[in-house]
Amino acid sequence: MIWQLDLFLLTLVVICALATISVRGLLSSTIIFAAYSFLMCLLWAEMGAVDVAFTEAVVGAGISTIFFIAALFRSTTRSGLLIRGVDDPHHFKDQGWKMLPLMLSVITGVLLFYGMADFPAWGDPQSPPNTHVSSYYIENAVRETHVPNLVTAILGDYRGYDTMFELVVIYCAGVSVVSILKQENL
Amino acid sequence: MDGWLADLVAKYNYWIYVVLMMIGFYAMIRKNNLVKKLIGMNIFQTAIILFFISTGAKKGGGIPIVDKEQALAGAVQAADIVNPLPHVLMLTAIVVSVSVTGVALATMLKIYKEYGSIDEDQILERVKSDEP
Repeated sequence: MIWQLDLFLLTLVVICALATISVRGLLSSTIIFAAYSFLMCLLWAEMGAVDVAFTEAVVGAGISTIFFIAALFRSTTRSGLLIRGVDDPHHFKDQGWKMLPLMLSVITGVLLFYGMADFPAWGDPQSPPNTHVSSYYIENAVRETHVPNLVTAILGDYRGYDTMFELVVIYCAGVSVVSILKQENL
Repeated sequence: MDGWLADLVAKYNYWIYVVLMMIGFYAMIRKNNLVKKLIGMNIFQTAIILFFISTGAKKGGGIPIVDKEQALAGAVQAADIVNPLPHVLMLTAIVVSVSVTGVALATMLKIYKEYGSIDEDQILERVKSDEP
């Protein structure tokens, strides 16, 4: 981990996150979200999580964006939403409700900041998540499974059931998508 | 004051994760366009994944792919390799998040077919006018 690069990427990520929820057009919002996912993937590669980084590059920046764009083109081509956007000047007419979402997210953030104060410093090799069970995997996984990539060893070997039921989740999601979209033809 | 500043610098990764989470949460509540809500949900999820990956990082740690001969000889030290366990858990989380996004987008298309809009206000108006 290189903290200069990390800080630079984190700044870009926050800028992209703010931009993607505040631009008006939905298509531009989706494209900025793809850039956000890609920056996130660079951030993970920089922290040494190479497997997570390429999964995010394929799934987050690739497939999610394709899903979003496909859904947008099937739903909003006739209205002007796609390019110009119509985000809500008339929403929350009652002024009392206008500040509620901001206040809720700030309260949640303050609580999380408060909890975060007890955390170990970032990148500390002696922090609790880095000491107890994970060092066993690093020291013994290759001897027990003969797979040099530790993430693959844990994913396919120690946590095989987890990965199997992950496939069940994907299958259920596929079945749901098909059954939701199928009914329109009846 | 100095201790407070040192604390801030040592954990800036975690602070920024909280900021991202607040942005996503705000978008989920405030935006009344369904696509914007979904993007907010995705930002929320990536913020949580970022948090978990950050807990596994180690100063000067290498990527979790080790040399096989060295590892079989027992020469790999746990402090030299980043923690692979959060990576495994977050791989599952990424796949689940894309499944959730897919189902949510399909539901959104169904709502659009039914009410002709993906804007929350218009949908609510049409739901009310449908009622007898």
